[in-house]
Amino acid sequence: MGTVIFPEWLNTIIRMVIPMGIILALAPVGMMYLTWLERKVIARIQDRVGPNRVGPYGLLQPLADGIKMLTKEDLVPEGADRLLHFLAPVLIVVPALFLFTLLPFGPGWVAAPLKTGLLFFVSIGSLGTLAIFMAGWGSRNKFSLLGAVRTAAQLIAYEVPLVLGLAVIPMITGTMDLGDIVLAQQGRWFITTPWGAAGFLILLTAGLAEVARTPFDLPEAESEIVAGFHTEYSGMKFALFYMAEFLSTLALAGLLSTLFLGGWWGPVFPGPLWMGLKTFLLICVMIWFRGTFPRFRMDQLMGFAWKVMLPVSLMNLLGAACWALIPGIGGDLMSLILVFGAFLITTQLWLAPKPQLTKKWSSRILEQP
Amino acid sequence: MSDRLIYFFLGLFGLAALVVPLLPIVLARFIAPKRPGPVKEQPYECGMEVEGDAWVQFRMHYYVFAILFVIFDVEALFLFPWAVIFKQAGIAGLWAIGIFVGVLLLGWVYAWQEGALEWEQ
Amino acid sequence: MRIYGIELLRGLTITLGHFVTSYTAGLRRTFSNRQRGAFRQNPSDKGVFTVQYPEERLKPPERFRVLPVLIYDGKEEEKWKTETERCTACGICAKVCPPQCIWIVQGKDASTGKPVAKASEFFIDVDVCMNCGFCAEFCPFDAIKMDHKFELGSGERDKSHIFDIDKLHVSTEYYAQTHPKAWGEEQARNKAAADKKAAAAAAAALAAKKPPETAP
Repeated sequence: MGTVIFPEWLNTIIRMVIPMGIILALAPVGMMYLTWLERKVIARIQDRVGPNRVGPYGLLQPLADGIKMLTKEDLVPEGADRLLHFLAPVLIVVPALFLFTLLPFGPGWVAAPLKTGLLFFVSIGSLGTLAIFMAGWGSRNKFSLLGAVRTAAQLIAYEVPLVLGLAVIPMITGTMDLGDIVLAQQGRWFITTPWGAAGFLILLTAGLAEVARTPFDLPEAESEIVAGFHTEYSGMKFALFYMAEFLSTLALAGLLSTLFLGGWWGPVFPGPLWMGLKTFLLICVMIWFRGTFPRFRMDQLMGFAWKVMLPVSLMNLLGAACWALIPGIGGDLMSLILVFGAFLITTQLWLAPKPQLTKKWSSRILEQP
Repeated sequence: MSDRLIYFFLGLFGLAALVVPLLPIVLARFIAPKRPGPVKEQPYECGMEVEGDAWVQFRMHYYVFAILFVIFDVEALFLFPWAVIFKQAGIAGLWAIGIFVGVLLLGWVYAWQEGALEWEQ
Repeated sequence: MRIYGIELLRGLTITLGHFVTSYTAGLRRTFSNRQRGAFRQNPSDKGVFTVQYPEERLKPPERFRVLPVLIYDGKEEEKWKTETERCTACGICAKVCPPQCIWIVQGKDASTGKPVAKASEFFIDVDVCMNCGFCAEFCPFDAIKMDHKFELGSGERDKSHIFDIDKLHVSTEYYAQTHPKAWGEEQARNKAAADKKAAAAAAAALAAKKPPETAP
């Protein structure tokens, strides 16, 4: 019995279909258990138990939720743009699924090894804004529209520091291929470098804002605008918005561990396991944030993006350049000083109480009786 | 896989990925009850009577932000090619991009001190 | 000048602390011999405070009050009898009841047809009762008391939510269990009254036996 040799075209098709099937089958399941994990962890943070009725440790809770969503009536408000209202949840999930094709889960374990993977990731990731705006406009509801407008403002504001924060990676590695970026971290994970640590924090913050998670969940701020852009969605369509949010979170954690935490590198265990572990830890950190921080106010949100994140991410670029050009401890120090200096100065300018300007002497004289 | 094949794959993936959202929606269409009513289909306004239309003109609070976004996104677009060849370009490249970013940052400082970055005027 | 962002880290440590102690406290509880659920009432206790209600129940505080019950002297197993029943059908409870949910019919002697001091029928409409406890407050015979049974849900409300005299009666044994403090006070009060009465009777007997000092 010789080994079966497939013809070239069949081989290609198999290599396309298998990762496609894995991603499309596993991503929704992963999302479902992410909801379970999130509820459990937040419950523990708040000294509660969390879901524990459906199945052992509430493990079947996501399934029960899915069935509930499936059997809920799908309402479309009167006068809504039915096409946009229908398309929005579909179009928000598809880009979120695309993100997983780009992530390398192990050496060669990547569905689409694009040379411009990093840029493609960002561009696909920001498509969600469009779907959110479609949802908000198509619902013909004031809360939805407000939520959509807010989302647009927020997402474009944080797009800038996100992209600028990402630019340090090709600067140092000289490539935008995610697999090659992981390969470049064989000796030293980028988070251990000063620009890497700062870039990780910048990307974590901007990424949380991009996927609209706490503390940046203004698009769906319950206390202000009911549910934001998905106020008018019920049943399965509503679930799809949640699915997109959780999938993007998962992909963001995967991207961060690829770029800064050394991807599949790690001792003893096989690569994909390490990648999964790092992603899981980052997800836990994001849930931890959600259990800790209150929501931003709109002006704080915009101020933080434009007044702090933007200069800090630019200074991080300069810091990375210094780190690459100046060898030894000097580059490290320079990089750290630039980023932290920018952070300290901008936060002071932004938040510190403004000194009261003393009145001009002439007006003081005029005020005297 | 060659680049062309990858893009072909991504296109195929996009089509296949449509199944993930469409399948549950179609399933729900068969399973879920459908009992529409005039009150049910009103836009949600916290239980109040619906007041006016949502599709009205309103003050776009932040077109300045949109302009700033375009500026800095284009800047990022220029930054990426430079970033990829940063090591080869060396100090000269750093100066060039530094001047480019510096000019934009001047504009950003101007926008800040003019109050364009404030959400509430 | 303050450095912004430090307090965020402090906040993270607080939530992490809660997350971790919810597990460590739970572990300690599984090896502790304190009653399940008891440690969740103390504000200084740490860890998960959820009470898994149908499986775990907390003992309600003694003065918790839901629905009046009629008391008879005796054990829980015995059925109430007109001899052991305390109620005298005076109707004060029905008069003071603000939502007017008590309905009493005075009993009649079977042979003579004269009214007796016992209720032949006693109804309380559970849905109307507002658990104010006035009936128990005003009852001169300690015959009506507030109970602790709060699980009253049912699928039907026209018949099962009107409690009759059989359903309303509980024994003093049961009452002593649910209200140990109030029961003790009642016993002490009765004893004091009995002592006083005995003392007065003794004094009267003494006075009757002694001849008057000044003859008319």
